[in-house]
Amino acid sequence: METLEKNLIFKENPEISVFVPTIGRNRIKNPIVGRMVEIYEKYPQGIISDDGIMSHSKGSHNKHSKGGGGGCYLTTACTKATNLPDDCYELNVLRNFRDNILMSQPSGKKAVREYYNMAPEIVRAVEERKDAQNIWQSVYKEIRRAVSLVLSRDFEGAFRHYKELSLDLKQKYLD
Amino acid sequence: MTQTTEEIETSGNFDLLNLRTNFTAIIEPTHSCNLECKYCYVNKNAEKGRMNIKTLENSIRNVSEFIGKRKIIDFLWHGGEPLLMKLDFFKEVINIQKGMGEEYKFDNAIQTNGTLITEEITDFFKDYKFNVGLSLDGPEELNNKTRIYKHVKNGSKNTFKDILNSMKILRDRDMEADVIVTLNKQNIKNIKLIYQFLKDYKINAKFNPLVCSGRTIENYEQLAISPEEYGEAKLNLFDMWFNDERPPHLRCLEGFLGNILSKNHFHECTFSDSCQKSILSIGPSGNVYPCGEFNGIEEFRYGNINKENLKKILLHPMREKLIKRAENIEECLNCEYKKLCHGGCMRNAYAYRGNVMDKDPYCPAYKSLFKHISNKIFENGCKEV
Repeated sequence: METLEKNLIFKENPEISVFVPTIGRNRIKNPIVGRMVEIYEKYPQGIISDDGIMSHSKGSHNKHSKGGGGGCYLTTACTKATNLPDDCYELNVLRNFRDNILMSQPSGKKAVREYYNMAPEIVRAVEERKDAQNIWQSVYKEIRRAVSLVLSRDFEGAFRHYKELSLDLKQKYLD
Repeated sequence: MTQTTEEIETSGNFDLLNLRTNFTAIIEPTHSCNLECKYCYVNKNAEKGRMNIKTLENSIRNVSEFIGKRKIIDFLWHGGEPLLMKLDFFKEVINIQKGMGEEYKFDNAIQTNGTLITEEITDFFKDYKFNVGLSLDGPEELNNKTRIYKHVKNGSKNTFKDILNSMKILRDRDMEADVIVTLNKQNIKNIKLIYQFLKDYKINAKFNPLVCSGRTIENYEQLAISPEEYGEAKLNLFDMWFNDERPPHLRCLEGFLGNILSKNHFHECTFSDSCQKSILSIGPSGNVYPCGEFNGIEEFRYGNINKENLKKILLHPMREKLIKRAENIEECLNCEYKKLCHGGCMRNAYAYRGNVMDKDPYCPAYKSLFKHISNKIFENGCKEV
């Protein structure tokens, strides 16, 4: 397929560079398309789980409509423990870390994939507990710690901290 | 040469057992129906009869135990018409699922023709969080050309009013029901009318082409559409939707767009790199097939859930062949859209060309749509894939 080099945006980043084809934003009136394009522009390297989301041509039910935010426990912790919006500073730092640092490395990609496989189950398990609010508050503290590590450019430390948090949540609420 | 099940198992080819997290078991408890839609794809050789409780229990237990605790296990209840099984069958579904223990998590969905929905059934579906999908081919005059009762009811065979009444029952209980619109020669020229109808009634939908199987073959001249006709209709549909400031959700177009934008994040089974890692189908007597549209075609039967465990069934050589289909379609090797399309639907390939390893015959429609959407979205026409 023709590669549209002349029309690509060069996003500069200290760690990696990303080429993104330019979206014709002024043409988009449909708000559903607009939201999909926003997601694409936020995460130009694509997503997350190799599994993706598959719908069946044989079924017209919309199973993904009831997921809300989609079961990300980092987002849930921030929004539920502190009423922060889902585009709060902490989450944006972690999203950038995910997209620009983790996703550029095989081990990071694997960890991100594992996260998205496991996270909805953790959210569901925590939400079923009476002490859910306390749990989200303690997770939020760990998020703040991870954010400070990212900001101090200790990426390895942030990754390690994130993995320990995930393992801890998994052991406490899933195993 | 294709390996035997035993050879695969001992060779450690466990990729076959690596199901995806969004796995869905499509259960078809009956292929009978109270309608005789002119394009019904159910084969004459499809399993007869109705699923008994033992087969139901084996199906739920086998699938659930294989997928494991604490993962969400999706069941899509399909048919035939699944509501011919009556409410007691679905109560048994819930009893069996509850009997698995709290650590097992289920999501249930049902795809129905929408003529047998009652208030009692809807209350039950709401209580147990069933997602409901209906079938509807557009406004009354179009729908009633193809989706008709088997026997005269209230002086006619028309289904439209009953389907709309079911939708009202669902909406009265705050339940949404997306619909499948099957594009065929009787409605494909009226795509604008269908779109306006969906908008007026605030109905979300997906549009499928008819499958050349079952009753479609008997009515081929009257119903079949060419890939070009299908492509043109979808292009027109996309343009109306794309330019609409208050559009309905059209899952099929969102799937196309998502494929282009997000590298495999959203996709329909038609364009999956390997749909067999995400679905299997179980028929009334427990026979397991790649999807329901293959039911009754012996070479695609993986096994029987009453006689074999799911692991052995998943290791069937045909399944291995189908899992690797996308990378082995010769005609697609040099296609610029290969990573978006993966050769399309294997059932369409088998129905029209007799070979599951061929590309989907609707290929020209998919290509034109991928190109058209890219042109609409990106400043300069297309995106590297």
